[in-house]
Amino acid sequence: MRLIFSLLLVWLALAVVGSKSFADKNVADSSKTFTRKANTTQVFFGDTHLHTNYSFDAYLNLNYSADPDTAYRWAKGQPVIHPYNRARVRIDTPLDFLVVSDHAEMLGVMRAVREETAVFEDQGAYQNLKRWFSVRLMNRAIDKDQGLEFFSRFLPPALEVDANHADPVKNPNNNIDQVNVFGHTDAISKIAWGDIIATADRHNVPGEFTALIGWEWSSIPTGANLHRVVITPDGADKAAQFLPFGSNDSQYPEDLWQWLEDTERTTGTRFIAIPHNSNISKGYMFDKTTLRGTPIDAEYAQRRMQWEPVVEVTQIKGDSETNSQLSPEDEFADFENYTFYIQAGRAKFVSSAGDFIRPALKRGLAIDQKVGVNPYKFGLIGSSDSHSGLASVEENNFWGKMARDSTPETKSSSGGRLNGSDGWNMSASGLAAVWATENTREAIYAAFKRKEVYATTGPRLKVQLFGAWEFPKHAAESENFAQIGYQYGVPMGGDLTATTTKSAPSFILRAVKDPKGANLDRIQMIKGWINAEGEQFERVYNVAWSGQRKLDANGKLPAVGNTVDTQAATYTNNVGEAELFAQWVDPDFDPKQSAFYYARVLQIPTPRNALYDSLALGLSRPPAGPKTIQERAYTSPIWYQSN
Amino acid sequence: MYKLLFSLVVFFVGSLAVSTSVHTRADTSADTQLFWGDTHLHTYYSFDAFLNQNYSATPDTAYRWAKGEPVIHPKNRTRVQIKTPLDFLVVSDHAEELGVFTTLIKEGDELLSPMGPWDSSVRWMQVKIAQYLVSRDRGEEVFNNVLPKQEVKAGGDPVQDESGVMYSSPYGDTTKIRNKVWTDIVETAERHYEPGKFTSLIGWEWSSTPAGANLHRVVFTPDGADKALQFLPYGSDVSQYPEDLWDWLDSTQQKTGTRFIAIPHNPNISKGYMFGETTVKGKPITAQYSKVRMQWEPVVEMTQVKGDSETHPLLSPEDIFADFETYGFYIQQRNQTYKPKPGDYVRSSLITGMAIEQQTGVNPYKFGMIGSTDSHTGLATAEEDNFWGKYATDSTPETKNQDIIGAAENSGWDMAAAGLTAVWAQENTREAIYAAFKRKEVYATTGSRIGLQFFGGWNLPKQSQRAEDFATIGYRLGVPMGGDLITPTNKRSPEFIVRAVKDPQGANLDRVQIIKGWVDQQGASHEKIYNIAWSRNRSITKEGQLPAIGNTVDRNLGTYKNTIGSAELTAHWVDPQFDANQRAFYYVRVLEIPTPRHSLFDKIALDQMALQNGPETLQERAYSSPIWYTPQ
Repeated sequence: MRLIFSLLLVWLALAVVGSKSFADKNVADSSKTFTRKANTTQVFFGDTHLHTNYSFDAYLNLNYSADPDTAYRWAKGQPVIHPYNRARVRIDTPLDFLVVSDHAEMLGVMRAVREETAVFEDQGAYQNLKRWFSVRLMNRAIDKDQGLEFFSRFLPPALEVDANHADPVKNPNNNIDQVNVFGHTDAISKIAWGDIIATADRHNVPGEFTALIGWEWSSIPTGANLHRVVITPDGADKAAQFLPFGSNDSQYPEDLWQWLEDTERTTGTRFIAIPHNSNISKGYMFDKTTLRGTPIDAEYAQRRMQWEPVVEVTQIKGDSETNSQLSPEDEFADFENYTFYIQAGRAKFVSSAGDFIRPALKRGLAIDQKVGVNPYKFGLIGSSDSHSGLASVEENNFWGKMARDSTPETKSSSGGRLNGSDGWNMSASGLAAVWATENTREAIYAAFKRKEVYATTGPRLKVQLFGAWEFPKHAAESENFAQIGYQYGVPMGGDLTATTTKSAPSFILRAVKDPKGANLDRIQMIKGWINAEGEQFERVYNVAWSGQRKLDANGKLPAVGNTVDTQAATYTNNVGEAELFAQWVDPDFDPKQSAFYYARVLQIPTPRNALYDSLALGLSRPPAGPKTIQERAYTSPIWYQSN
Repeated sequence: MYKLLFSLVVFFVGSLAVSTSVHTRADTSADTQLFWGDTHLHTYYSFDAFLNQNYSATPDTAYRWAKGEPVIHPKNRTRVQIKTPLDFLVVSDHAEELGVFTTLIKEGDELLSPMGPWDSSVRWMQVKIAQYLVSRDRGEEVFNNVLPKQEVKAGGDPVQDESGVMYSSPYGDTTKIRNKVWTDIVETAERHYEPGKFTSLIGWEWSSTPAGANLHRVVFTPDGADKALQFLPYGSDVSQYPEDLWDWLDSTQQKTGTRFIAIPHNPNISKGYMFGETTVKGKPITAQYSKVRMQWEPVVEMTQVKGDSETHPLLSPEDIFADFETYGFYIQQRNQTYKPKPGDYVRSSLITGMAIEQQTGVNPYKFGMIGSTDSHTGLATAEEDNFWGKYATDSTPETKNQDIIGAAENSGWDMAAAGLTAVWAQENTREAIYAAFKRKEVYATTGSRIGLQFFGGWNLPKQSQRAEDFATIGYRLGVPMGGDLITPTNKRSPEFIVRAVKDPQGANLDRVQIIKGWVDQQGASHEKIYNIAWSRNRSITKEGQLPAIGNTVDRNLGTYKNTIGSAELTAHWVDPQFDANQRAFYYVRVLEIPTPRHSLFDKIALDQMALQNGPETLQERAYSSPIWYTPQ
């Protein structure tokens, strides 16, 4: 215990040293990103995916008041008023950065229509009349508390997963005309966008809090979720030169990338696009082919990786790491499974390798082997996708997916009537953790580009991972952990290039619990690889754990135990450890096989958000989901590429 | 640990046989532990709670909240949860119209007794009007009509004032309803009682407010349902005189064997009547009156949501911390300028008590001190950043602004997120907590869990305040808070040891003070405040003042830092101005460093520039029960 404490102190001391060395932040060229940083990175926590009352669905689900300013105030730790229940709410631990990412489609339109600030252009008598009727229809729906029904107009129809796996954009049922229900609305969206980017600039305080400008491209042909959050490190001066590209412009990601490229060229704005909720993409997010069904070639893969270095793997609508069908050996695979497609009716969930990041990372290796570029070589983050304007991912301080499901009695009122899911299915998740040299737009953007980022499902787990061909002995418990890591190896998101030596890759890992949260159960290394025939494999290694537990013959570890009092929704840190570390060499390494390695850190069991609400309602158990969960962190992988 | 404590007890008991008369109580020992609770909480059975939109928080909700379970807020319907659970709770609903509005509006008038045709139709109308108003969340209008009017003639017996008429129910005989409701209150308390773990105490509030003079008492019993189901709570609709309440307690105790304690509260808005120099009827206070009063009222609730009753800046002009959660709104239909009187505050009253004792031989105001919430939401919320309103209606920032009691022009912004009762007891049971109240080994905090130990004696070793066996020394060589010092033979000055520890989840401590009050031979009153321990790097100025601790509150975020103050403060203190011929009391006041007041959080949430009233930060505090010195 004392050892751990002194290690913590040392680490803290290093972090302080690190924070003083901002001066050298921009010296390195991008190809050698890792050598320069030594131990100067710090971890920053943020949310890259948050909706306010400018998003059409947030507004129609009773978020009338939480605007971008509210979102930033919450993120910075100020008390704010909840948009639905009007109680004063506050985040327990403030964020370091935030992206307000409202849907590009009908951006700000519902709010402007309802608040009668909409600027409509004259589109001729018939179109004007149609629009007048739509305005009336929406206001009536809101007056009768049927905003949800009005919202459902914009959803794809209830379609089962296409057995032929054809291009969903070309599906005859793929109709997105409803987006034009109010006719031309660019003038309205322009005002909303102006407010979004000005508010971001106002709240951006370099070194203290980073507000990033962004939006969501919400392509969902036939209920296949292809959504991307787009962010830029640039300011309002650049962002004011365009309007966000929406899925009403095109539903193909290639067209989004083209627009990003064109806009970067014309305005100088830099972008990153972040796919999310691959779990409900009906197999299309990380597919074997492009969305159109054409083979993935080197150019496609390069392009995709240029814009999409990072994937949001965990959020309110579930976890996309893997599931037990795809990873039957992994006893922790079924975590926050979410099986409800975004469409106006329930469909059977069909699990597909294209839906989850672990099989996708493997698939990427296989495609790389064929075409020479890996289209799925992405880092991992989490974010909330909350629509309440409040980035709330703390299990006991979770304020709903939508504004309306923020209280126990209304938790079952959202969505359930549409696709079978409601507040009880939602996960209070996740966070994006970033190892950056400072808390600025530039430094966070740079960390995303080099994938030195990781995901947590909400807690502030502090995770470090380095890979190298050889680390000094006892590097993992060294005071200079990060320094050694950067000096001898590469951090998460990096590459191990083949060497002439025959040694196996070595990794050092360290994980520290959330200072306000639960202890740690274990650290695992998850390896995926392919053989010469392109066959894909995965294996989970337990590399560090709490207590005196012993691995069995299959490398499995007994469960850590569960201290949760399910009557009071409390837990104690009587099990687990505050800190775990490991130095691990791949025992099954074959230099001829390309592989990736990422770390998964598990907390001890704690109460799930739904348990608190079920107790408040006097229910014996939550209507959906488990009473307790093991929150976790996923690092970005380190890749090894065979020659 | 336990074994050690046990052996200390054995040691203590052994030494007791040879000890001298300093020990007034043979039952105290070093194995007391600190328990936290609230003795004053209303649920939807209280007429005013219900009429102010608490339609759902039952006694069961109250106990679940107190035990730390998540519950649903009665007004805003969010899930709420106490941060640090309580060890004990008294559900103390108003005896007057107990559960009557709740039952009539939710279930109709079936349980009312029959009346004549005219009275019946009037009553039918009354019920319909109440139902209509409540259905439109306008129950407050009914409530305001029930409030007393302002006194017509100040100074006399308020019960006899034209406006002091006793409340009488427009619904006739409501016994059946009250019976059913009382049974639920009692049985819920029984169900939630877990000896050693959580103590639920059965109680109610006698709500006498003649002509707007608050004389309220919370009554509780350590006894269970077998006793409590033999009576119905005594209300001010039977009598508004405290003497009649004590008579009833006495006769009910004799009849049923039920033990009681009555706890006055909100003397601050009693118009001087709570601790008057005479009885409420204006008669001189006799030894007999004092004895009866002290038999039933060993403890006073001196800090709560409706303000702090320690003292007032006009009464203690030398005390720079006197103006704390000052609440100047009488409980009546119309606003009236607030005038603080010595009978309104505990410090001046403790002195008055000694002056009366000097004349009559018995002190009527020799009380210990506790805090409690008086919350009407069913939720004992004394945590500043987790305060859910006086009434259900004022629980959110946007509804905090409304008038909430009559037209007194007060609102949620004026309320204090206070207080708590701290009890030094052998175990967490009804008996042990009752015993601690009886011996006044209790203290008040304004919401924080400040740990406080306080002993007085004639010969407490120097450095013993830092000893590991602090409490053992205290009990062996002295008396704890609430106790008496008896004249020493050698005329030494009394000595005190104090230990104060910060709330484990809260703010550091600024200072520890001893407040001494005394009466000289001529009967004149005196008070003095001594700073006896404080956090580092400050020294007393020539004027005898300690510089302010500073303020770390970030007013933009509503946060503070423990970069100033101390986690623990201890002191050994000898009264430098002791006169063995003068009656005196000594109590401890512990101040925290400044932290955000609940209203600051709401102000930030509303994005307002400035608070319309009340400070943005406050120094939470603890008040010990006094130790008295009485010359023989």
